[in-house]
Amino acid sequence: MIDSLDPIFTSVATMIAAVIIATGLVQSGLYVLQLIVAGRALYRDPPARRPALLWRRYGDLAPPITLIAPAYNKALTIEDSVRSLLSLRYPSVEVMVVNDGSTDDTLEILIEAFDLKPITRAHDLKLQHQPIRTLYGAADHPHLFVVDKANGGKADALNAGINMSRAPVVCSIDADSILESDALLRAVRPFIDEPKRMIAVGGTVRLANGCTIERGRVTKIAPPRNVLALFQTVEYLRAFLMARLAWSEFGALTIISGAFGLFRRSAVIEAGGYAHGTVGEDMELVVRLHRHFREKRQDYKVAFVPEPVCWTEAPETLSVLGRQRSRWQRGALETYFKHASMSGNPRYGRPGVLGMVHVLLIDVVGPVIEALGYILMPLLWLLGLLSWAWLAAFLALTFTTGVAISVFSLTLAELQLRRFPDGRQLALLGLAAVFENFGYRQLNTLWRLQGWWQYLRKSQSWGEMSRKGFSRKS
Amino acid sequence: MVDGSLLLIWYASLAVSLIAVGMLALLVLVRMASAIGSTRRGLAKKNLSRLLIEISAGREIDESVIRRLTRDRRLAAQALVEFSTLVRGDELQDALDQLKAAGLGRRLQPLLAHQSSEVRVLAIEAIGLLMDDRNEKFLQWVIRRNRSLRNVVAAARALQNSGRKLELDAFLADLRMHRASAPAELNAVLADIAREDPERLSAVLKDHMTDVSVKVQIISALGASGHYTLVETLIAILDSGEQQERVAAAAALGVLGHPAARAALKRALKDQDPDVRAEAAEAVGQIMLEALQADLAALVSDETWSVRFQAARALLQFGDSSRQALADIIETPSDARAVRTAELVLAEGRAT
Repeated sequence: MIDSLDPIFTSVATMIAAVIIATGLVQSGLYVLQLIVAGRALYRDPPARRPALLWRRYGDLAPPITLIAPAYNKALTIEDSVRSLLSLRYPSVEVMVVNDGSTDDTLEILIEAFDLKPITRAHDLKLQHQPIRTLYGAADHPHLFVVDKANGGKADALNAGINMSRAPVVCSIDADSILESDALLRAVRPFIDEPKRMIAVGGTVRLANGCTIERGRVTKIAPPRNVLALFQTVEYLRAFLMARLAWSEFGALTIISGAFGLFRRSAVIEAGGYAHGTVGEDMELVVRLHRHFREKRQDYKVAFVPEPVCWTEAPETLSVLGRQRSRWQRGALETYFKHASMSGNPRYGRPGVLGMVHVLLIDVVGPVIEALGYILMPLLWLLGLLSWAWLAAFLALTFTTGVAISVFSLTLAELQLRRFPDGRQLALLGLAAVFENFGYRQLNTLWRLQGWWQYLRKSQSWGEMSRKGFSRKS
Repeated sequence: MVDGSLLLIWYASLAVSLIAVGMLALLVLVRMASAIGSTRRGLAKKNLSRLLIEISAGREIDESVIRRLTRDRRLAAQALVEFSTLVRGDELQDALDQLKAAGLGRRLQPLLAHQSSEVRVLAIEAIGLLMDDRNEKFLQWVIRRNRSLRNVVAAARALQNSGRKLELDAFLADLRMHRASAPAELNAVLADIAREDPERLSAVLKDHMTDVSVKVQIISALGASGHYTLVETLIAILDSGEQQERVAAAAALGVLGHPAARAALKRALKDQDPDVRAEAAEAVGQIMLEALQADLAALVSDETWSVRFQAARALLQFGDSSRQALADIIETPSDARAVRTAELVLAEGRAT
């Protein structure tokens, strides 16, 4: 009986393996394509090295920007962060910190540090958010505003900041991130080059773990000492330098990091602002902007600029990192299923046909297929239902291709941007690019599956994100 | 057959990852070596910077040395433009004169064929710094050749910055032809033209072929030109242009600041488009057209926030009588939106 079922088992096993290998091949092909496109873009438009050059070209053309920094229980870092934001070099910028009903001393620290006083500023309530209790201003810092509002989450805080802002361009950043001093001037370039079309621009986020930070500035770049943070450094490089740049070139960028993104204020208001009830509000907004402007048949553009850098702190423990990654996965799933009708739909142009299909392959189906591969491929081979060649192909696509993609991303960063001060650091990151594929990547798949599970259970929790804070000298 | 294909995946990915690791190892070695000596490009950069510093300090350098050190054209253009942001006055001029004499401007011209738009613009900026008759002709040719609006704008800006005359006919013809969205840098070029020859610039507005993004920038430039003779032109656009043009015309009339725009702005305050109404309200405040106080007060209950806000802010410009008009809106509440706007604007006015 069993013998007679053997060919059936083998056929089923071969079919499963074929699906897994085919998905892996498509994913690897996409990564290679992204690498080529990103490399070409970086070669074609190398970054301007000196801030003085940027000032000469764009100093008198740069539109006013409002930096919106939502802050929830950031007492540990908020003063340094705000001082860092106030020292940014940009012709016309106002800093709007939104205290989202913090239960710690965030507001009190701000009031004391900057001698804040209640002020009035006329504003509309175009976007929905929790009530604003008080708006504060500082006599010594006329461009600093602090909005104190009832807790409503990050999207809610950003909406309050957008309502309160008067600049044509708003920049959303995390309150505990650090922007390089000329990052805004670099990031605003697409708004100057194509003032009518440009609605959103994303910038690069890098990890500050291991770097020396003094008075809210990164003064010395160094790789993290913590191995998890080291793996994430390579991961961020791959995500920003390769993936986002490539998708921007394709005209199908579906995410701009919540840690650093510039938006035309009127476009965000027109599209309805940040959505409540999602943990992936940054991705959801970008997809909704695409949807809105495509449906209205208006010419628009969403771009990514690799040079402006925002530094952020990465989780250094498995539990915090796991919570972050499963939340990101949930955010991607919420956005995808909310806008699933765009996926593959020619009406939505490249964002629909390329961008959303990419999200489907990488974020929706990707972790499930990859997890199935890790379990089923060795199992089916051990049971003798698959030949060694199938297992070898799976291992190649999972491990060796992963190594190649990570290492090539690092090579690209070194060739075009030279962001690492010396060869030893580069070598260390090279090792991380190799070893992240053995263990760390599989952990990520597990966390993404957890995200899937939470999505199915309709969990809305952000999970605790404890940070050490930048004020220490690393 | 299947096994063969699968093994091919194995070998191919192994080969690719070995290549990747090899490349990175090479880069690491280069980086480590560069800690001892400089890489070729780094060295070339250093030499270029040293050359520019030396000639700006008044040292005569042999032309052949200049040619050798500026062999990498892209690097030379970048170094020169960056240098010009750091050095000013006679020192910069001395350096530019020597580089001009060495023919650097002409040698940068082929960069205009570079595939990167950034490099092309950089080359135009560098050639603009090394302005002489031949380079002027070259930049005028760039404008006439009319392939990329960004290049055309950069060339026009370079000519204007060096005090050379722009071939206006060719430039304006470019503006009519281009369908691409106009870069914001065009503002600076148009502002100069509007000051010197506003009539020819306003003639472009009558051309139906001109892209609306270009027209909007021309209207703004005309408004900022200070020529009161343009009031009628702007009024005509405000009355009959496309939506974006009417918005720009209302704003331009406010910047121009001539009271002859009163009747047109009064009409614009009742325009169907809220952006036009908001800009018109702001313009009324800028020109201080007190006669339109009642029209502004009516707009404080407009359905659109930006209109209400601009109308209330404009009212604040007129002093006590119009402040009283806002206070009246609060005291005799008939429209909650108007009351809230008046309250907020009055409170903000008190604070500032």
